[in-house]
Amino acid sequence: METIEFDNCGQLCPSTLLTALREVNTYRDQLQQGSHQLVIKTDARDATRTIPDAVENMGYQVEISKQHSIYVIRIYK
Amino acid sequence: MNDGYLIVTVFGVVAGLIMGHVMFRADYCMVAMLRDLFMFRSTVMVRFLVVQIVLSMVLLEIAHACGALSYYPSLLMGPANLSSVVGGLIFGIGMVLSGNCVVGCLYKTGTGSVLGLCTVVAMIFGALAFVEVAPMWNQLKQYWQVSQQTTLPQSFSVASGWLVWPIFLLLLPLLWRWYQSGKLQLKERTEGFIQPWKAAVVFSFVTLTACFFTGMPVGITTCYVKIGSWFEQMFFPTHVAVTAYFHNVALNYVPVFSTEMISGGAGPRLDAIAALQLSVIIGILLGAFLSARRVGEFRLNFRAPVEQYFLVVVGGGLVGFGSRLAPGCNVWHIFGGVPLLAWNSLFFVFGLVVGTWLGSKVLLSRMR
Repeated sequence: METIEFDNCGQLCPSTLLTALREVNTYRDQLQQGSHQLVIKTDARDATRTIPDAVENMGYQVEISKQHSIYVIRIYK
Repeated sequence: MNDGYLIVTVFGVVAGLIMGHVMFRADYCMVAMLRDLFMFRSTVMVRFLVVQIVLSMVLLEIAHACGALSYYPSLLMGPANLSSVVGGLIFGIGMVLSGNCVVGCLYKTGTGSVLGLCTVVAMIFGALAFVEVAPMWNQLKQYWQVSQQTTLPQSFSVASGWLVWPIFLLLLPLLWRWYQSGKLQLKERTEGFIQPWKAAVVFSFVTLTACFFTGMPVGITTCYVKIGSWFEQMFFPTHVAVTAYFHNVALNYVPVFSTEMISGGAGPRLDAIAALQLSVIIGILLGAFLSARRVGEFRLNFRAPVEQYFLVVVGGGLVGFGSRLAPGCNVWHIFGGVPLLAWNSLFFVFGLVVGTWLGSKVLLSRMR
């Protein structure tokens, strides 16, 4: 599975969510086929609630981990 | 030192430390609570605000019934005036554009967000801009006064309990349903996460203790004018000297446990407003900083799109300006005024909801 990384650090809500959703839509076909996963890096704590809630409703799976001071949200099918 | 100043300063710092820590850990963003209703049709976070308002209302009513509140309903709450709707409206638009309210930007600044700091500075400029139109606004306000009374119970000439307890009983089934269905419990996805319902309980007690120790709910924005006036005095001392708004003494009272009078206003002085509000501001910044350091999340970050800087400056300016038109911010009105059933706070919330809706429309149109 190939990884597409997107760095969302420094942004405030709702931009964190809206830009994440834009990325999900941009790579929708690859994500739906299961050939790619999207990895979003964020330092906005609330994004760890808003992004997973939104993409789970779209049928994706989500994993969250913390690397140093940053949260990493992995979105895949 | 006058012990009255000491009491309110110590209270302010402690309350601010608690607010900064809990807001950061619980992601208790009041902008998201209202904005997400319109932008994403999400009621997840606004539930906690309802819990907080209901609990605060009950706690304040019990304290009042026990005679524990020396200044009831509150100091600095004026008679019902529709100008609060206009203030709330402008505040709401600005809040959505900037992504911050008056406390949100403080706790985010404490965690290293440069966008948060830019919002604080923009709010100070917005509040200062109001000073220039204050005489005109105060004249206009005279025509918008709808009652001499401050609260609903006063207008209906009934004891506050006659309204508070029925409202509580009316909302209790809703709160119970949320509790039973697990809607008050969020997934813990961040380190050191505090459940927002716990934050709502903490903030209710902060409001209760603020009303007990200081005679009023927690406020922030008069001090934004004061901070601005300090800077303005450096560059335009003559203008500050002749501006009446900076010389008004809005507050003059004896705090609980004190025998000495404290007084203050928005001008460039270390007075009661500084003791009450600057202490809270410093407390929030410090509380959020220490809390973020504890979980390794303090991070100086200024890397954001230019458009976001533009939005926080414009939005922050509107928030600062709107908070002075109202007068009062979301914390003053929602944490304190609404639970006290103050007319102006209810007017402010009405304007705020409409402003949030408008701001959401603007933001969505820019993001498409």
